Amino acid sequence: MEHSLKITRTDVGTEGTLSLVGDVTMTEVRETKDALLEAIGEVDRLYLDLHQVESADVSFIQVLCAAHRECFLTEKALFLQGNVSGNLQTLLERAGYVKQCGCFPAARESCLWSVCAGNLNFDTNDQFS
Amino acid sequence: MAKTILTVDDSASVRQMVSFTLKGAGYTVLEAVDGEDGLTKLNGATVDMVITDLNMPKLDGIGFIKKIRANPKGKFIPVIMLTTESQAEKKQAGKAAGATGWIVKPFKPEQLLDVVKKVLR
Amino acid sequence: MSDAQGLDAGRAVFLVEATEILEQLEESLLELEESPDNSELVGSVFRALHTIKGSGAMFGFDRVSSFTHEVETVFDEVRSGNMEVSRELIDLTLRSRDIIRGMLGSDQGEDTALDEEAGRVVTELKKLSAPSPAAQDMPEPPEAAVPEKADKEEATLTTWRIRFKPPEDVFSTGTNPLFLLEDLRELGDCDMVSMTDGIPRLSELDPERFYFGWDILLTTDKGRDAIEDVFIFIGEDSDLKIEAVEHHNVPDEEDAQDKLLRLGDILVMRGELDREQLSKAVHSQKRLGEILVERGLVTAEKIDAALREQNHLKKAKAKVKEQNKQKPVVDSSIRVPSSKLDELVNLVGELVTVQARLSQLANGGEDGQLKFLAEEVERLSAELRDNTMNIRMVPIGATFTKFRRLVRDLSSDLGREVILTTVGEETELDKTVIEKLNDPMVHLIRNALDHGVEPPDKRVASGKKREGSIHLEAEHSGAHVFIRVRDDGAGINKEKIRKKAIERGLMEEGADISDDELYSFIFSPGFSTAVVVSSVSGRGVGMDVVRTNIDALRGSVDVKSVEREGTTVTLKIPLTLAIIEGLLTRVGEERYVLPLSAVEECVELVEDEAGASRGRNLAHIRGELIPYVHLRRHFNIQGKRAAIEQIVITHIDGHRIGFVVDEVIGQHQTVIKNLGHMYRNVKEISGATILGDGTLALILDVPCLVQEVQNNQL
Repeated sequence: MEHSLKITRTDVGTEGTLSLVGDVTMTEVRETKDALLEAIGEVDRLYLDLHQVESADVSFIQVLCAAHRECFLTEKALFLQGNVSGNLQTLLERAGYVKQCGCFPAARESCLWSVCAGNLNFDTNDQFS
Repeated sequence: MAKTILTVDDSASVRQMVSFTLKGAGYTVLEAVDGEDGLTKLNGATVDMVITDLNMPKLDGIGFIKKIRANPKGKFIPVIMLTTESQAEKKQAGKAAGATGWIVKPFKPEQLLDVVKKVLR
Repeated sequence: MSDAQGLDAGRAVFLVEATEILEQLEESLLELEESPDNSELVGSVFRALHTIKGSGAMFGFDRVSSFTHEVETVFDEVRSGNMEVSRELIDLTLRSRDIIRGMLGSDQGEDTALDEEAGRVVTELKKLSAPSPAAQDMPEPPEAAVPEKADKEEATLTTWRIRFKPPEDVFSTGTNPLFLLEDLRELGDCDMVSMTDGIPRLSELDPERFYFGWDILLTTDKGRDAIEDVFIFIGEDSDLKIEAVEHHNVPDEEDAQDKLLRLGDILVMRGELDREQLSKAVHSQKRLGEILVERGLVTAEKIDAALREQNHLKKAKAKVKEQNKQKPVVDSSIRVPSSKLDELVNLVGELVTVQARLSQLANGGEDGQLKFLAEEVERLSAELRDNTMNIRMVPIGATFTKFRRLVRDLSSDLGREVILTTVGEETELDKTVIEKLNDPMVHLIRNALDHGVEPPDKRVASGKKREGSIHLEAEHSGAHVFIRVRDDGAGINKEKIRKKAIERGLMEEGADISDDELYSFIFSPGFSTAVVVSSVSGRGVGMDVVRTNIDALRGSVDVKSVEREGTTVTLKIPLTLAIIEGLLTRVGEERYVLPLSAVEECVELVEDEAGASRGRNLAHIRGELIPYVHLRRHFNIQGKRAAIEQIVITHIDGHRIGFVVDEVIGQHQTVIKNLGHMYRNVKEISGATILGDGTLALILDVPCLVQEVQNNQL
């Protein structure tokens, strides 16, 4: 895995884009975690560029969810920039991460995976009793 | 890319059966006669999975599995142990040491392949 | 009902049931022989044996039960994959089936021959199966069967809710939890939502430990065991819950199929919420999901999982519904002796006759109310008639199945190799017709095997495939069913038939006759061209039976054959024997009925003068000349010809023939009564019917009359 962080300063704070390139599996998971944690510490708003992610597994998703939680608790913002790589999108779909709402009530608006949900919409009419 | 499986057993006939079955299914197979030999082979190549007997001379199966997990090259790879019905406590010990699963002896080639496919995909 | 009576009734039911099961068993065995790897068939053989064993013991058929147990034991080995299906096994099991049938037939009486045969089969079966401790002599008690509930879960499509949280150290055991999810997907339709609420913040995360869980909905017919197998290595260490949410396609739960669970109910079922919380939330105006999340009662994730469950069930139901539409639903049925049905048909026949009289009476008078009632009765009796006829219709498939065994046994007797194919098993015919078809078809098949399909070596020598083929086909067409028996054998040797026919004085030497006529000789009594009289056919008693039987069914036989390529015999059979739609006509005081299915049109007769002058009956129908039968002349009816006569044009076997009558009265539901013995030989009349006013009308045998007209024209 290779990563790079690009930081820009604006009037409302610092913004950064973290690009992750290559494999992000169990083998690299500590490295990935450190890169993310470092980036969150540097900026107020962090964008993740994941379109060059190659092999990914569930440990990577776990790190990203934890990062989202970290940001939420430290009142920072975390976004996906553009589309994620095809591999990652498939993984998210197959493993049931692409969904409508986030993991805890207050964070649902900012759930990373909501943008990957795309075509997965429930018909909620008259399903609520 | 063919996955590489390391089979560790002191019985040549079991090794041969495992090796023959897996090669037939398109895997690359490395053989080792005991735990120590197994660790050497593990360090010398990229191994995707280990199938090991439990009763072996020198380094036995449980000890071998522990060493695999302590080794950066083997930390997360699947390890399947070959056990017999009567060895329930051994099975527990193996799992505690970090084994992924087990196959009960005697087994048929198809059963072996089923398990390999299950943990290796 | 006393216990003894109940047992007797039970025995009777069991005997009928067992006969049916044995038929199915035979069918499954023959199919299994063709596809020995089909585990479904193995399962069905096993179940058949299991049922016979279990029910047999319950109703005191101990010999049957303990013998069947032996066979079942062997098939259990096959089912669990310890034994392979072999030709010997099929042979032995078929023999066992016959023994079971024999034992059921001989009741409790001693039958040493049968017991000896049973002993031989058991010995051979044991030799065939690997010696296993299970194959001991003690029959297991029938109660030891698989528990009903598990059975149901095994067999039916079920939606399962699986909650799975792997142990935190799952990565360090080399397990990839995603592979387990993929394993689940392979079992059926699968929806999964990850449960991420256990995730710590990144600064506190040990990335080599695992915190996720999944909430999975799986709709599969594979059963609980298959699901548990997926988790075999880590099930014990995981937080794993597998619950059945709903069994689909259970017939008596039909109504439940349409009901869709509401979100609130699902949440309660899943244990996320109690009823009280639910009812409070429901009283608010907002959407339930939003309220629950807002109040912190349920996390959005859990609402999401519940919504997914609702959606999944909806999809599963839609799918099951679709499938049910495609496959015929197995209706519950009752068993009625066919004599009761015959009685019903007779009564309906009488009713239809009386109804006709009522209608006639009502239409002749001025009573409006009576007319109205008569119309109602007419409508109802027509419906009653159709329904009753329908009850008697059964698919021909069961008959075809019987022939598979016949073909199999005969071909090994005769040293032939034959593949039997069938088409149109679902074609329905009146039960009595089907019963009467059995003998003629047996003869046709025997004939096809013996005279048609050549021995394998001969076939190979003449460049044909080693295995011959016999094809049975049933096809519905109007009021008739066509049944074809086709072989790809040697075909009929016309010269041999010609010689034989001359020898028997059926035709004159050198006479020029059509192929159809030539072939029809093979149905003459005592006619056989086989050089060597074999045990199977060739005694010349077979084929005339075919003609006689088919004639009795008001059907016809047609033979087409190409030498060295094969023969096709086509039987044309009326759908039902009892009631036909007829066209009622009058000639003088006499009434005649023509089967409506043969009638094309009715017009005024315009004779062809030129033809008439040459002694031929020809009518002009829109410029076409059509031969006709003048019924008044034909039946020698006294009286003057009507001023304007009507001609009924019929269409039979590609020929158009007219029948001239005084008057066409109209359509008539004709309940066919057979003529008495005295008139059995009158060929032109196929039966009689009683009219509304109590008088008799004769039913014309149109094909027979047509034949006659054609002969006269020669």
